[in-house]
Amino acid sequence: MNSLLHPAEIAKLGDLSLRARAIVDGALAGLHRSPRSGASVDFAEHKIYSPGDEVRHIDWKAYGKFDKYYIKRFEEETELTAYLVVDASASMDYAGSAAAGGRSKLQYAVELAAALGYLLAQQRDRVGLVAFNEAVRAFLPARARRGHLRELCQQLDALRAEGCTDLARALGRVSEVTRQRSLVMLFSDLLNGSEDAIRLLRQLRVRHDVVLFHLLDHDEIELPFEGALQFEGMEEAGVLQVDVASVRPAYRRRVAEFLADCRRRAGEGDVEYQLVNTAYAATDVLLQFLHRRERR
Amino acid sequence: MSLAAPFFAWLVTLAAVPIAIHLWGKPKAQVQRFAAMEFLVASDRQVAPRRRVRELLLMLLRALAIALVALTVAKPFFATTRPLLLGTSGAPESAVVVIDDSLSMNYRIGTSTLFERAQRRALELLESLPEPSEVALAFTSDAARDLPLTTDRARLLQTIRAARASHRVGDTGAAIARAAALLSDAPHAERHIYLLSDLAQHGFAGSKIPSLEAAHAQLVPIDLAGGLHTNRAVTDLRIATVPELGEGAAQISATLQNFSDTSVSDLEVTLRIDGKAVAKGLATLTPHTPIEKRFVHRFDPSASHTVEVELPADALPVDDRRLARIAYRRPIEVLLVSGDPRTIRREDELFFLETALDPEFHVTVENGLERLKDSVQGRDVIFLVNLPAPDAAAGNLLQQFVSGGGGLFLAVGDRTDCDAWNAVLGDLLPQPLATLRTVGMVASARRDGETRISGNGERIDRFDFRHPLLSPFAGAAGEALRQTRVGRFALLRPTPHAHSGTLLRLESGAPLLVEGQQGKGRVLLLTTTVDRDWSDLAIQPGYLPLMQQAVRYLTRTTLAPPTSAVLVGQPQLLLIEESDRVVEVTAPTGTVHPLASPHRFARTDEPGLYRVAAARTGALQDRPKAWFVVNPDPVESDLSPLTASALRSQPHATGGTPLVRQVELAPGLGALLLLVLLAEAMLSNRVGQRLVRKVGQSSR
Repeated sequence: MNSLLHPAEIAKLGDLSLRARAIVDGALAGLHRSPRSGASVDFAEHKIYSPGDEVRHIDWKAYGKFDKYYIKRFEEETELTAYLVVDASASMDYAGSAAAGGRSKLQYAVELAAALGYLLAQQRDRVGLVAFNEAVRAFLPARARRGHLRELCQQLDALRAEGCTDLARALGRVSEVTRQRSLVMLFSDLLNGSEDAIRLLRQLRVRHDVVLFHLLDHDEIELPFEGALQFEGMEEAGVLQVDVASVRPAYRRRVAEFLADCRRRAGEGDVEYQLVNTAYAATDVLLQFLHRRERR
Repeated sequence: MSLAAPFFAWLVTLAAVPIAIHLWGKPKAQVQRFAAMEFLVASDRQVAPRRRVRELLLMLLRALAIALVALTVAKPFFATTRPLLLGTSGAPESAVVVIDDSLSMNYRIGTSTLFERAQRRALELLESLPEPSEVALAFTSDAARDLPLTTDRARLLQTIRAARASHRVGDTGAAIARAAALLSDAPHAERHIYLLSDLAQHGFAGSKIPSLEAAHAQLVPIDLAGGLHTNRAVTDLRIATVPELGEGAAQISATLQNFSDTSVSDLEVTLRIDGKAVAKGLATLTPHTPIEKRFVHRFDPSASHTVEVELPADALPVDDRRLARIAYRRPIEVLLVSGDPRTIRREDELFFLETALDPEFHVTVENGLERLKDSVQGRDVIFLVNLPAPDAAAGNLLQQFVSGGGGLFLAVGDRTDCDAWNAVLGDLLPQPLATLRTVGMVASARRDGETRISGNGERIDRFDFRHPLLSPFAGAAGEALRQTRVGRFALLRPTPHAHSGTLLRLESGAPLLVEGQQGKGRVLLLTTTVDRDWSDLAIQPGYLPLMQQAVRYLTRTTLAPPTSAVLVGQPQLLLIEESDRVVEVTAPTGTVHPLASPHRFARTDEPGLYRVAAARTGALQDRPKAWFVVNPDPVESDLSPLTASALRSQPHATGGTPLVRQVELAPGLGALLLLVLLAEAMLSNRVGQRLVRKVGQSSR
């Protein structure tokens, strides 16, 4: 737990608040506005009574003044339900020489997810965890009770990168356990079997607010190696010996096209897309994300 | 190609190393685990074809580089008989540039003739020889154009540039012999004879190439024709009169030859008379087989004509036409007067003489001098044979005839009365008759009672070949008269006449044929018979030409029978009047040659029609009958090259000096190696990457 959340980093995030962009259906009141009117302390507006409305919400003072039945409406402050969906497949184990702190993509994702979980817990939001590879490796229902954060961090800390990727299964599990509108944050490199990840996320976006943290190592973006190397795949058994210089331009073009395609399709599906180069500090990525959320 | 250091040639096999590495050598690469394999594999699939080509090129360049290094170390050279433009050793040398300037060097290839090529090569050669080389020039067709050894480059360049191909026959062997003589005491040890020629066989048909061993020289033949020998030519042209077709009719026969290896069909042959095309025909020329093309034409008998047979121009146009001159003359009228006619013709005194002169001349026979007054009219020459004493009237008539320009031939015989002849003919006789002398068997001995026969007769011993009448018998042709045996002849008395001369003498020194002059005419006196009675002259091969020449000499007409056109370089006797003192000959190119010696023209350097103008004094007048044509020697038309084996068989090849030169290839291979390495570096992009990196660092 302590290894994941450095006090200095938490201090940097202390003044920031995470606000959901959309109204999330939740049980707890908090910083996030609920799309439902109901039991709340803040008056929002009046509406003309119509059959079926709660009689107890009739504003009798208004009836005295206007001789009409008005229903008082309130802005409920609800708690947010958020799920951290972490890709723990073997490809996430890659750690390039330029990665911040020499961390693998999985370690980076875990750290970033823990920071976000901590912030949500600070706001008394409910946070859950789904870690997956070709199966769901770890699942923690969304809760806001005390001690839940520690359990979340323990689960994150225990994750090991292995196996292949089956994002559909993980997102299916999220859909099963979330009956309310939730914030789903996916941490993945979208490599190896994640061709239709964006499509699945767009389907999920129908009911939930979806954020994609697309983690890639600097090496995977730039291919900075020199000379002839024998590359071995981390999820598949593919082996390729190649003079890096000869393929670098083509490789960079393909990666750039891939990232542009992901960003475009995510935008079209109203999925918030955040490219994360693991060479940069997680704090910077988190700040950038929170600033963008705050502007919404 | 040969190698100066063949030991190192095996290094070429190392060129297989890059190939083996390319095929089997997979370098041990560092293992790198990587997540984004899908992009890497797709990228590799995209660039793989281009990379394979690049790797193949790199492999080839590296193999080539290794091979070039090995070859350069092995010092390759190219052996050639063609000279380098640089001297063999780079040291000063003594050289003779033999330039073939014969007719065949006018052969045109593209825009330049072989001779122009020879000039260019000679100039290049001259420029490349290091100082202080000394160079001489020799020409195959004319030794007079040679230039001795000199270091004066300007003079050499000027001579080469001013030289022109001749139309003469070349003698390469003689030119090389002159070159060897020049080099025999040359100062430099390096001695070369550069032969710039088409190396046609005809150039070596004359003099043999001498051994160059004594001159310590090396012959370097340079073939300028490159084996080309396609040519066709008119090699002969003959004209024969055809009396049966009427006056002036003649048959013109042209010999055409194809010196190439392929047949030529429907080749147009044109006949021109006095420059105007009068007939055309077609001919098919098979390789190396002469064919004859005939035309019949009726000429104007009152004039002289130029006949020309022409083929379409080819690469050597100078031999595509041939010319001839034809001149009709009035027949020479000859009167034969016999003093001893017989009814049996072969026993007649005039049998052999008439046979020798008819039909070359228009011959009329009379017996005795009774009708001389009528017969002498219109005659050019009168033969009086075995006549007894003519009367005074006849004597006067003959005097007038000869003084007026007629020719008189007198021949003695059994019926000749020496004293009466002396008395009547007087000054007409070149020398007075003395008496008859018998020195051998004579046919009439039994008839006239002469019984003393002393010996086998006398042979003709002395000739005056400088005399126009006897000039055809100069040399071996004199044997046609020398075998003559004379059994009886008339002895002559000495005379103070300055205008008489003895043309033939017997072994005893007695005159046999004596010449005299009276007025405008000439007289010949034969001191024996014209038949077989006193000598066997009449059955000797020389009898006919002697009698015909006598007629021509006496009539002051052409002394020599019509001959075919002379060849380029041969002298031409001009058929002009003896009295002409001013003569000019205009060559085909328009050059006018005034003649110092009016009867002989030697500057027949160009083929074509030469026009003669002459006069005794004052303004010149054209003499069409004296015009003549000059043709190229057909020997030069056959351009068949000398074979390599034939060239090697020449004496210079056994002189101990190699014919080949070595062209070092190492410098060229070194340059090529540099280019290959540069290409390899650029292709592997290493140099380029380093350069970019250095530029980037320096800019910071």
